[in-house]
Amino acid sequence: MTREQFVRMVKGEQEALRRFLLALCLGRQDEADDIAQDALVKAYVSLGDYDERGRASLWLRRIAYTTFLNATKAHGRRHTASLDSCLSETSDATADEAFRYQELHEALGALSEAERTSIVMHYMEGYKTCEVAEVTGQSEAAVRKQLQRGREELRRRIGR
Amino acid sequence: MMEEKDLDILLSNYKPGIGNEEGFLASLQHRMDAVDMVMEYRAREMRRHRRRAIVCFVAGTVVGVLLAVLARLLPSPVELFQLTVSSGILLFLLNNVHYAVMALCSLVSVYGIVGMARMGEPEPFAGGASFPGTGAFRKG
Repeated sequence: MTREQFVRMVKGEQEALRRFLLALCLGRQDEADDIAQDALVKAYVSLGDYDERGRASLWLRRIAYTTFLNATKAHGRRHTASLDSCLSETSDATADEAFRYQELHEALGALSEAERTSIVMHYMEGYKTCEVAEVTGQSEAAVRKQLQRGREELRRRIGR
Repeated sequence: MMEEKDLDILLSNYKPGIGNEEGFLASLQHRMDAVDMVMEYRAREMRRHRRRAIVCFVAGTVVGVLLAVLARLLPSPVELFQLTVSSGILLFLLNNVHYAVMALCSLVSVYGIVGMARMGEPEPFAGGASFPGTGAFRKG
């Protein structure tokens, strides 16, 4: 894959990828974008490993997920972004939307990284459990269990 | 507790604003330029090292063969002096003069080959120059 092809692929994928990382980073947009940039640079450096028969989005998710885990390990667990920062960072967000996402991000913050990733990929992005398993490097059964546990936790925490 | 249906709607409608796309892509291209420069520099250095290694190997082999031949052809001065020298140390040196000459030549050859290998080697990013955009890699 040439640089031009890679840039074209990134243009098509960056929005979903950044949203995926934004959910994993619990609404902290600067951190999510930093991780997205790091992940895309890693992907660019390892273009030789990319199997063109596979799905680019899954390949990018896998790299982004690993980068996210490394960043989390390096910086430790952080808190959800404040409502003010959500409002200032998302220019088109209404107060209502920011509040809704703040609650969701707080609930997602109560889940483990693996549970959060499974929930985000499966319910927010529509990936199948086998694809989630491929990205997170777990078995499908483990992903299904995480989805179930994660859902329960979210239901319990949102709208209390 | 939230209803299953409401949770599904909340999760599937997750579409927060993600900020400036052009700025994000421009910053990424900048980083990619830096990566390209580093990879190009590394490839160039590897080519140069390979060339230098070949030159040193050939020079080492030639010098080694020459020294071996020289050691065999060198006339032994021992017989000339042996009878007049009484010191044990001097006698030992005279008896091993071939090896002493070879060690000296080897030392000079090694210096020569190392000097040749270093010839024209540029200082990487000398003068405080740096790749544009590499600052972005630095983490606080």
